[in-house]
Amino acid sequence: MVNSPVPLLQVRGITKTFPGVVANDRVDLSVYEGEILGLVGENGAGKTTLMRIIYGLERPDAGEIFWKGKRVSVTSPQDAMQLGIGMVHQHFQLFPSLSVMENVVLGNEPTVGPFLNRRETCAKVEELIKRFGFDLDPRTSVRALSVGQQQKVELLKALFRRVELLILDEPTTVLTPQEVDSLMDLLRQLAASGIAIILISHKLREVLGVTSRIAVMRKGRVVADVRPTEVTEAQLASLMVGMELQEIRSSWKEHRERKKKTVLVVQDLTVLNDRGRTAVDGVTFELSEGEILGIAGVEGNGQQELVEALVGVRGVLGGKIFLNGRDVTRATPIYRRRLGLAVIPGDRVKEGTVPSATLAENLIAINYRNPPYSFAGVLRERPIKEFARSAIKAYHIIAEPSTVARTLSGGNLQRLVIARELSTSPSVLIAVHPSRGLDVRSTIEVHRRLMDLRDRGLAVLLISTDLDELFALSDRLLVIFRGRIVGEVSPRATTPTELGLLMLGGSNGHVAKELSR
Amino acid sequence: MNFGDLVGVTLRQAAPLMFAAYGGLFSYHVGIINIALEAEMLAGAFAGLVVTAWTGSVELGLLGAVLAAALLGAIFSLLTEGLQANLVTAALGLITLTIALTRLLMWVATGSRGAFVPQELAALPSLWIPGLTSTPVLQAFSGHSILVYGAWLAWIFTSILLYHTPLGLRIRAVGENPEAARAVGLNIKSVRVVAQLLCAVLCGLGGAQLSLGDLRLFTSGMTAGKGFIALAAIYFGRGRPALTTLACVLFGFFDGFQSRLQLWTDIPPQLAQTIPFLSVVVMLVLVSWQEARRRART
Amino acid sequence: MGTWPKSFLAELVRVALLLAISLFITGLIISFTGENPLEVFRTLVQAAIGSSLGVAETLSAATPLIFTGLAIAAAFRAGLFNVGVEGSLYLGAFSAAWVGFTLTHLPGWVLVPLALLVAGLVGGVWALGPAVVKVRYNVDEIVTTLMLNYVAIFFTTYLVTYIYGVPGLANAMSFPIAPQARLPRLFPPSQLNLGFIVALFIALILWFLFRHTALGYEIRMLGANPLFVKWCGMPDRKIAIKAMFLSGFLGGMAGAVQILGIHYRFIANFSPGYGYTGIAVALLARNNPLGILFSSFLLGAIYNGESIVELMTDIPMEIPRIFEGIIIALTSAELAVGFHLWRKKTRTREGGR
Repeated sequence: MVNSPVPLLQVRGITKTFPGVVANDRVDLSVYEGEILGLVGENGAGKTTLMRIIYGLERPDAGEIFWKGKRVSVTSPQDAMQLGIGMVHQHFQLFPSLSVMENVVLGNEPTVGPFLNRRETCAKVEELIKRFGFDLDPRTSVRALSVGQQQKVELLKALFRRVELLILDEPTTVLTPQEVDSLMDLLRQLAASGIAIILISHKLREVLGVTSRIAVMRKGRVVADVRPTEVTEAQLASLMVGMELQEIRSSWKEHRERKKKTVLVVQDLTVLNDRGRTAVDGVTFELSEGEILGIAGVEGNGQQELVEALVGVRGVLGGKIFLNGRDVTRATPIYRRRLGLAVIPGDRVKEGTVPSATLAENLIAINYRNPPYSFAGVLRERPIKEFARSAIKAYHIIAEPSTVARTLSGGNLQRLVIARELSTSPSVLIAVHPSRGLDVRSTIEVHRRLMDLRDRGLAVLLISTDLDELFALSDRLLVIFRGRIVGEVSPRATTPTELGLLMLGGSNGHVAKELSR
Repeated sequence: MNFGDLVGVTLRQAAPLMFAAYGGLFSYHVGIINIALEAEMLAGAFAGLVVTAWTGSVELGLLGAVLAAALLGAIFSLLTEGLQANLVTAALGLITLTIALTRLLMWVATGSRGAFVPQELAALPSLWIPGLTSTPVLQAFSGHSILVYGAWLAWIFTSILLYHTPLGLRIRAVGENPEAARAVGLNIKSVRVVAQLLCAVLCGLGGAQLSLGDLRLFTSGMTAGKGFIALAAIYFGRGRPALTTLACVLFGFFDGFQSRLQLWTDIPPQLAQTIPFLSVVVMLVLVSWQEARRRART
Repeated sequence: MGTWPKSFLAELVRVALLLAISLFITGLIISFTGENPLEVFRTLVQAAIGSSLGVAETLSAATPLIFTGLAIAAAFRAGLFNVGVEGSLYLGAFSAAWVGFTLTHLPGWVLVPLALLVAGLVGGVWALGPAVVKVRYNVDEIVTTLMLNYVAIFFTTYLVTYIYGVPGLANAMSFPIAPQARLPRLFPPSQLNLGFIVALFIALILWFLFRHTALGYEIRMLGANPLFVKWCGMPDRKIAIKAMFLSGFLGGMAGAVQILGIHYRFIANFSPGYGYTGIAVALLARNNPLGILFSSFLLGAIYNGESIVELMTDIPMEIPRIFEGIIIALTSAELAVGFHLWRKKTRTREGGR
């Protein structure tokens, strides 16, 4: 490992805020030539944002970037690439209809005259593929590749150019163990040749195995900078998740076990995503009244498609959904709502509200045709206003009925959504990361409300990537990975580490073995 | 019923559609639904004819057509890329504007109102293919203005550019996934603008074929929806040049067919004239219906 | 509903800016013809609203634009582009004429509403085809409705040339409607007729529809956020179809009013593009029914005044259409956004690093 006193890349004081959330909070980080720096943290800790800033895809609100000791301004990926920074993205930035080699060389295409030099391109890409031991045909279209192979194409893209700093964002989530091993060997090779590597990964064991240094991020800050030899996996996981867990757990109320009615049954559900790939793969579970069933998983493992299928916004390929005893697999959303389904969607702005409409207009979106809100097709303003006012009062929304939704803060918007969904007195509520992007106070409020509703008999399906939230609310916890339920745990009997391992693809048995090491 | 004649008419009617459709393909692949094809065609038709009538030179006329259409394409790009205007309204506005401006300019340039029918007009050279001129049906493939043959060359040009050059690769990449293109360092705006200009140039030639090559006059609004028919051809072809060409040929056929139908039968002319437009709707619906069925099956 | 004072003021400023720029560019184009734009504008304004007769004619010119503006707005509000208003207009016009010259035994107070209703229904049904294929198969409604426009125009011309027309004329026209089907003139010798009052009335109804009814609410929400509508369980497809039907209905009425109020018979190709001008009317008024009353007045004034200008200068200046085109093209151009982006770029250059 070649080390020089001046870091290859150094960021100081990087701050980036998105509406409602501080993604990076005065982050300081350094990377040295020839080292592999691991960057770990939960979803939403700010790792990807920081990398996007370094790569020029985002601009920081404050802070500086130094490259080889000199201050630089990285305003676009072109700038980053010119410096010698390459990035392999977590969410693939590929072009499905183009071939592997076209994806790899885009922007740097070998030409003969004005035309693409296909032969040279193929040869060059072929050489690269052989060098790293991937099993790819440069000519196949990316669309036809498996997810693991697509990730390799992402890698090839970065390696095709001259690179001094290589950033990898979750590169192994879709690789087989053998592929992971060969990738790790490759990374060691690259580092030995002087290339600096930043490796973002959930897979703590891998990170511990290949890195020379590990930085832990939590809620936008770097909270630890350790050597892999100094920490265990469990310790890393604790650093990632934080200590507040104990406080939240102690606020649970013990509620008595009683015979509960099953309100939602999902049987062997299979759903395709927009690309025609299986997103939900034979999922089966039941939800009873008066319980909160949490579904934990890294984002992108089929949760969104599952929710869409349950709501009725997405069609189902196979399996069944029963709501309060009725088969709603192919029923319209409004039929399901009439049967008692309500949903707090994951995206308050795109799915949950109409930003350009008023609070009142957003609130009545489900009940507007029912009396007293309308009569013979005509909306009655007074009952609507009264409903809005009572919702404002009951849910502490800081707004007027005529306030435009766009101007509301995240917390208020979420209260609006909750107010609306609960106004139908549902029996089943699907809550998709309900406290995402909310401040601490609003989060506690939302959690308290959900627990309160649960105590009163509401069945809640909680889908979230936030371990704090899942631990605080769930009575039972399922883990989803690549569209399958891979484990069920009781929140009181499990640890974040165990849960984290499940979320990364272990099954209950495998996890138990891991933990007993 | 002269089959050869039908073939000839089909080729002539399809040519402007083909040019506009190939231009539209660049837009389509770069991710822009270009409704301004109609405006660019009309600008090309106008400039092509008027400049030729003025200067007596067909080459200058074609250049004028291309420049006029490019100007319109540049304005469209300015509106949509620079000022973030809505693609559809900007295009519709430009169409209205172009129709009005060509009427005005026609008066300014030639003193005519409504229609400009020049007495003498330098003609686009025609191509006579030796050996075909005497064979019965095949003779229909010979003797057209060079732009008719040019339309087929445009097909080759478009296919090569789109699929065999770096520019074409970048155009398709930007259209498929602008975010990923940005991540690779491409300048999305300039790729889009280049695609738009290519589109405009081709539309200009299509318009020139309409006025200069075929009818040898200019009337206000003479494109009569052909830009939209070209758009339909692109939808029909799902962005593939070969299928797009097929659609254009079919639409051209229906257009030619209806005029011959009027000659051969007693059908009222207005009813015959609805045929091409109805054919577009029917074909578009069939293709979309098939697509929906295919997607439901997966 | 909606915060009134601040956003209303912002809208006014925006519209004023748009008009000013459009006028400027139009003036620039006029100067190319050798005429003085200020003179031309003065003549135009004088002709359009300089006399009570002028105002009456302007209102008459505005009448079809109110209908087509409302028609376009109705579809726009749902997020759809119904460029086929022109076709609905033609079919509606013919239907009204047909009722007018066929059911001649009916008294006026039955005949007129019936003609209007039939025209609206026909216009609405005409829009259903494109609506259904759009909703089911995602067929671009702009292309389908535009193609059908041509079909409608040709078809009605055919009807009036071969079946329902007075034979032997250069420009085909139908039999005259029964005298009791005529909409009375309000201000002779201008063409202003009762149709204008009907238009006002319909505009008010539309205003009420969008602001106070469940359907209006559904249409607005669909246009604002189709995803939300689905998640909340609203029947998004049905709403879209209803919006298109409404749009076609209004287009049909636009044609009917021209026939019953001005021409008293169906004349082939009678529309100078009211359906298309409706786009400018709707966009200028931001799809607001009350605003449409103003924008249709503006455009009606320009169309009305232009005929005088043309008479005087003998130049086909095409002012209304040039103006219209510029408005449509610029209306969504966020000129203010352009300015903002420029400011942001200079700011981040200092702060972002």
